[in-house]
Amino acid sequence: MTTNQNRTEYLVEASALSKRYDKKSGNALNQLTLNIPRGRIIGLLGPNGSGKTTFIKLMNGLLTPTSGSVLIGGCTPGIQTKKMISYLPERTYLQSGLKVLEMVDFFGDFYDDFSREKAEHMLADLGINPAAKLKTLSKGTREKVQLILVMSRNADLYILDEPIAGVDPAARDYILKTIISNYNENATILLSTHLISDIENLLDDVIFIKNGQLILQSSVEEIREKHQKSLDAYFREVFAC
Amino acid sequence: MLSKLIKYEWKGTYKVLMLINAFTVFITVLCMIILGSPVYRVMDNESALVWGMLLFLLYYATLIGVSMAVTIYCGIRFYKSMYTDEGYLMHTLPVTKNQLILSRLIVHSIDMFITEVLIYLSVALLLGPVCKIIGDRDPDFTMETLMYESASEMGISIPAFASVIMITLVIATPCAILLVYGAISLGQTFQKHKVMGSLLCYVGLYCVVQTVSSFAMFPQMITYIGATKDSLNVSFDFRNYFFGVLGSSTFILLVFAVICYIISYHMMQKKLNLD
Repeated sequence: MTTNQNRTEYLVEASALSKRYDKKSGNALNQLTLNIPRGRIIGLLGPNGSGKTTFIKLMNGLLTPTSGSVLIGGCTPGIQTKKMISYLPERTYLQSGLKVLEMVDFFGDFYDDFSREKAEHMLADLGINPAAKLKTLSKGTREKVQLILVMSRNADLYILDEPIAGVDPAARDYILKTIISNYNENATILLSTHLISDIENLLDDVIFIKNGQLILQSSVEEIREKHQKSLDAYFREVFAC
Repeated sequence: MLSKLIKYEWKGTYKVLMLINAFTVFITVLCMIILGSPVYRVMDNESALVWGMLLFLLYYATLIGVSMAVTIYCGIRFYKSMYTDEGYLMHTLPVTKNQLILSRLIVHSIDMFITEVLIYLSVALLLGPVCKIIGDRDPDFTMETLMYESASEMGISIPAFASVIMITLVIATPCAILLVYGAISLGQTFQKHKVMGSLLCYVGLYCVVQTVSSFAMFPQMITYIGATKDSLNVSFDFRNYFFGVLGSSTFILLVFAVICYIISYHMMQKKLNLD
């Protein structure tokens, strides 16, 4: 595993990756081929139904590809890749019957790279009571707890699916600050969101996906220079209805 | 990792389990109080029979309810943690699918086993007061005679019979849980209404198991019918018949449980599709 990791140039390698959910529907992902390097903050952008979440689920082993392959650090999704990925899904996956602190213990028990101190520090910063039961918290606060848990890991790849969609603008700033200040420079953050203007300044690169296919993979700087537009404006132009 | 998964699953289930099992304790205590009360003792035979029947129905319904509630709760826990939003957490943990299934199977089997043992204890506790009430009305009747007659009829002592039942429970309990897991996993193949699909799969699986078990029991049944038809035939061995029926049905259940385990594993490993 370590040998593989050292050998591979890219952190994520997707090759002709396709996913079809059932025979009636078309491909959610269609021969997607892309590589994701280490040490970058990357925006995974595309309109609804473009295949972003399907791609994310495939990387996390939550779906199996219909054809093609995806490798994380040279490995197919499995126990080893799950140790490398810290994943924030678009929905609340916490067990509502547990307390915040019990979820901290849970993450500490299962992930060797989890920092309890970091988590407790962030909980205190956001004024979240660690003794509170998750079911007593608002949806936004639960999302914050989830993000704190995910960002308290020292992972190789952070995959954040809509991390700021459910929280208020004030908390958004803190969350974005948390994201950039809580990962090591060799790690990669893959951010999927529709709130492009909010994250634009964070991103190094972007990946545009449409109809399950790669439209563009480029650095944000290149887009700005080449098209003389902000990322948000360029996204609107590319995906105009 | 398996022990950690077991720890968290146990933490997640034990409170509800205690609450459900409290009904068994409650109904047992209630029955003991009523059956031991002086009012019941002085009742005439007819009234005692009517109230006894009503109490028995309430007791029986409660025990059935408790047993079903624990099974349903274990099924819901499995479904929620594997195939709903919580699945996003469980399936991204650095653990194998076998560990995920086994952790739930072990905890839910213990949950079920505790419930079953409590039910047996409840029956054993009530046996005394019931025998006493019957004994008060029929001087020839005692608990000892009941035990002795039952044992000689079955050809097996009561402790040996209880041990066999306990061993069967230890084998059958995880098998029954695996049938539920298998049905839930099969239900995930439905495009829509996956819960309804799981229920239908469970009913289907249950019917298939019962049908196959009935066919397997057929030779024993034929022997039994043949033996009991002729009342003078004293060579009929009830013990062999009993063990034959119990053994074959447990074996069939075991086979289906293995199939259900494979189905659950396959669904999680190859066909996982969280909405």
